[in-house]
Amino acid sequence: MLSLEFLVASAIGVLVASGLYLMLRGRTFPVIIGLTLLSYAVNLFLFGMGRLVIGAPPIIQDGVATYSDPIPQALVLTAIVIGFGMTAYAITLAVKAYVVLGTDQIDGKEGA
Amino acid sequence: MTDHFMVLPVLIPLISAMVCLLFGTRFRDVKRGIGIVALLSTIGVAGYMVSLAHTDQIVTYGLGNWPSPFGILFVLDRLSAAMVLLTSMLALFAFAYGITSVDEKSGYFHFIFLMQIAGVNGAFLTGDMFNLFVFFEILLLSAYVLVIYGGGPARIRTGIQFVLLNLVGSALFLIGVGIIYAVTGTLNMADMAVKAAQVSLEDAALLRAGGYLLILVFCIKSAMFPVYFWLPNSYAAASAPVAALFAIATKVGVYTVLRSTTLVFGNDRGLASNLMDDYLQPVALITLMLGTAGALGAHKLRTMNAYLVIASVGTILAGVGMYTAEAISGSLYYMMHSTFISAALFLVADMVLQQRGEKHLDSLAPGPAVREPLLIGMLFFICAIAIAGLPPVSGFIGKVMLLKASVSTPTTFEFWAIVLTTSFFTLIGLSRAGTMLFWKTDAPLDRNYTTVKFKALPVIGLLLCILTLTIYGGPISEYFDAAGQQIMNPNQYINAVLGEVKQ
Repeated sequence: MLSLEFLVASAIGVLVASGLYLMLRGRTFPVIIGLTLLSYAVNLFLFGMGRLVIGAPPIIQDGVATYSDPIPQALVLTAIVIGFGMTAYAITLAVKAYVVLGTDQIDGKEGA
Repeated sequence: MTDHFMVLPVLIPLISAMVCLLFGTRFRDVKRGIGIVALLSTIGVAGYMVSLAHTDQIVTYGLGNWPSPFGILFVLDRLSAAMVLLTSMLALFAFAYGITSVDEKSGYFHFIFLMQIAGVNGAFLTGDMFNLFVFFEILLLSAYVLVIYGGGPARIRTGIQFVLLNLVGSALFLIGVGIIYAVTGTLNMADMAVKAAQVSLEDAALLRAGGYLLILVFCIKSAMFPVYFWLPNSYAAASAPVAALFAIATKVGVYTVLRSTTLVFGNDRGLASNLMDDYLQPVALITLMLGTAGALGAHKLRTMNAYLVIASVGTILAGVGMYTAEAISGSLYYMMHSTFISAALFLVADMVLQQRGEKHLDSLAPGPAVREPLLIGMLFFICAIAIAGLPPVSGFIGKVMLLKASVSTPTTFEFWAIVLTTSFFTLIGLSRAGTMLFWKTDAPLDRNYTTVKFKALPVIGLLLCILTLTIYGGPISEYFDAAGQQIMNPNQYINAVLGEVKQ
């Protein structure tokens, strides 16, 4: 029963679970890492939405019967770029917050 | 193809922003001029769009001339035209206030501000779900920078929460879009609506789950209960022109909720029909009550106004939740009104805090008087009347339209009771705030203070918009009546996008 779909779905599940766990931490660094893991999971999920096929071209050619769906691949590329920009900004802001507030707690208050 | 004006509301702010960026931190006056000219010309294009939409045609524009449903489309109907015009006008006044006050703090204010406008206008015009996501990200990334604009611990603290929450929202958005794409195989909203109507029984649950996930994200953006907790602190901490501009940011959420639940998940969509009919109004009414309660309990004028923004979103979506053409018309009219007026009150709050000194700012407690009580007091008074929805101002007209529309719905009693009670409590809260700020005062501080001078102009401009809404209430509400009809009959939109063939 160990199909390709099962493997990819499990990978997405593990990524989401780890991402959620880290996002519920109280400090900015693990939260941002958690968000990054979540966005990887989302990208994989988007990619899988076009159905998983192996070795099929995304562009129409003569004599080919099965194709892979090009749209999710294009969407994932876009999502990766946007996610990269957002992560870069979030890290910058977290560093700035640490400098200004003197703490890396999410709520900006020093404590456990 | 002479429809190239369709991209101008995005293109003008985008290119002007890039030009402002090239100037770096120098030539502030040039950048101010560029911003004003860009926003004025955007208003011009938006006005043309409204006049075009008023002839009841739906204009579509394929970017790169790709045929629909394969390419990205811009679609202009009554709703999106009105939203673009509202955005551009609000942006002009917020920007004008910005160049009288905060743009000395950094050279990049003009650039970021214009980028935000490009993102918001794009979100209103696009007819493609993934492109909507991209424009959301453009407007969010600008908002992330704007929310901490001016720096300081309070802004950074709320800013980081604002950013993290919205990043989670973006992830949910993509998951929702992914699910819907997996079921329908399309990203074009009109095509999505057609495919959703034909969805098979085994896929229906998946499609509805994807739809609910999307609507949850839109509710986060529009600050609905139970996902509005990011709003009050970040709006209260943001600098005045930014908070005024953010009055439109929640309305992007409102627009997307309205668009998705009437077009893709509206009536006659087979197994994907009527996703929010039973839930939207109750949740919106709870939002309205909690927003009003928050406004009554606020310690600062800015926080109070942030909660009033939440309350106004509750009012608008409670109207949308009836899903009749008449109610949507009232909601749209009220949305115009509340956007202008909450922006105006944020600017007034800024004038107050600049004249009461560092210690008291705009806290609703006895403190030193403002230096120009007559002018600021008058502006506050007019804003208060308008927000509470007292006659003769447009808020009153909007609420009457909504109350009238609710007579034909099963929830008339709840709607009337909650809307009227919250109006009453809003009035109490604003009266108390006015009393504290302008009457129960000590002697004003005798140090250097910032006079109002030109800062009053944007506020007066916003109040003139309210006046226009009031005086031309007849024609404007006729426009929105037709808009409500158009929204409740999405086949018109679908035919315009896909052509008659696909039906």
